[in-house]
Amino acid sequence: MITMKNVTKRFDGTGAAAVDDLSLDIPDGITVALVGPSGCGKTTTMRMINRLIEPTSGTILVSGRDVRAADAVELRRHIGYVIQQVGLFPHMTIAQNIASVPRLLGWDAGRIRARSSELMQLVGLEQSMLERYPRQLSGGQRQRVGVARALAADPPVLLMDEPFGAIDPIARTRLQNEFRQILKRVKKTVVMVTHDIDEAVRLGDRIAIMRDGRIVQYDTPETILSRPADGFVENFVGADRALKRLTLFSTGSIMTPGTGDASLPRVDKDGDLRDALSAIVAARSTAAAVVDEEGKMIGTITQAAILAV
Amino acid sequence: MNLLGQAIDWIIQNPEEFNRALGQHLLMSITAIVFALAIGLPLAVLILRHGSMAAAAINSVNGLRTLPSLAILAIMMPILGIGLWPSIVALTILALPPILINAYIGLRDVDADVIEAATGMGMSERQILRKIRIPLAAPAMFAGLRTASVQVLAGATLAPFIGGGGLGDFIAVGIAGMDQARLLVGAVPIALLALGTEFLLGQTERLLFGERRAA
Ligand SMILES: Nc1ncnc2c1ncn2[C@@H]1O[C@H](COP(=O)(O)OP(=O)(O)OP(=O)(O)O)[C@@H](O)[C@H]1O
Ligand SMILES: [Mg+2]
Repeated sequence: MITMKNVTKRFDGTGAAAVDDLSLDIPDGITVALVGPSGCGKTTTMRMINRLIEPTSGTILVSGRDVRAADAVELRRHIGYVIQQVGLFPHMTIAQNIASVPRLLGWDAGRIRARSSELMQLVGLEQSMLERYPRQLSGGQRQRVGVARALAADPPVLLMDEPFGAIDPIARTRLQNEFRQILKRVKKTVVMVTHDIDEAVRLGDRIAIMRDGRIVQYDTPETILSRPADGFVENFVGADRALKRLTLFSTGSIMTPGTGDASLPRVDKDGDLRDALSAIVAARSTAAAVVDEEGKMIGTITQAAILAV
Repeated sequence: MNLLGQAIDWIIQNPEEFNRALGQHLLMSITAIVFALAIGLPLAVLILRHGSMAAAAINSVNGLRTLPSLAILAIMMPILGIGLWPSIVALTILALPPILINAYIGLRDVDADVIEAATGMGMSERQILRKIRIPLAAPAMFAGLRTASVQVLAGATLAPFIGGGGLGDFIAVGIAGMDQARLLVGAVPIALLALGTEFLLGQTERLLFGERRAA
């Protein structure tokens, strides 16, 4: 779907390449998180895909077509783009913001209205907000609108540069979880830039770890966390990588079904294994009872089972 | 108070003369503002595209701004002679700096993230100008118009020095004849015009763009 072949970017008047002979294959419908320390070339890599930056050398294909063969403006109308500061148009209502790309593509008013209302539902905003101005929304709501706007014309590809960077940590985790659900539903090919490994683990189907303009490891979160390619990756993912890895599994998928023991600490079946382990450790127990949405006990999860994952 | 009464009496007794002067004053001022807008706004867009020209244009226009109105009128005289047109040209020069500078800064200082988002979604340069920059710069442009209008209405007072007519005539005659009442026939309406315009345009500005600033 997106293929980068030996792509190099050297900005005028700078010595080292910002992106250095980078190759990356992104299959259809998955989310790839580009992570790495500040200045490693994540944004530059992403912005070359929609030609906001032109590569010095190398080839980039989107849906099999060389991006340089297309008109840059036309190309961008078919690639969704979300930035950290959102960049909503302050003089336009939310409805007008969302309608931006469909208008550029010449959709009729009825189709735009139907699509806008569908998108508001998708990103979890009330229809009444369509008539508001960006200033009248919270940061989290604005970011949802930013995503709705990027998805408006149903582009096959979505680029997101630190989409949660400007949101406070508590709202961020919730929004990330919601976005994972949204991205699953819309089946887009997503390239997301972040410097937060937790965000990458939470949202990425694959993670590309970058350093000095190169990719040092490109793998599933599970592999990155369990088998970091080198010391740099190991250090970057953090000393708690084994615990982070546990967040990739839900309690419900590991538990032993049964009636459960009322004396055990309780954990939610949709929670992750790190939280389950934490509950077990906190109660100085060796197991926990798993409950469903209604609080009914549906099984047991043991410390040993968690450690065996 | 007595002087003001005399001035009003004079206006009531010489309505044609007063109205003609008022008409000239407004004609000169409005024409000059229209010219300044017609030159300043496109010029602002032009220098926005060519960064190197911007500094030169802003500096020369700022240079013009430091010239006293009287000096501009004096410079105009040998070039354009006397009459209404030289006054209009002089007033246009007076109105140009606030209009050009406000428009240019308004267009230039649109939030970089907004421009990045617009570019990233596939708007062309022209579309960004029309749909994003101009509407977002509109309040600044309007503020420029307001400043320019007040300056021009007041500045037109000096038009009689080059035979431009207008309400300034009464002031000139009043000074020459040491007739303070006549002086007020010119001065009071000019002050009212300037203040009234400032107020009206201020209200209009709030009406047009107030919602955007609020909340
Ligand atoms: N327009 C530019 N001109 C010159 N150098 C640039 C330009 N844009 C980026 N660079 C340089 O290229 C390198 C990579 O920048 P990039 O923005 O891709 O980093 P990043 O990984 O996104 O960092 P961050 O996490 O801080 O956003 C940096 O050294 C940066 O200084
Ligand atoms: Mg960046």
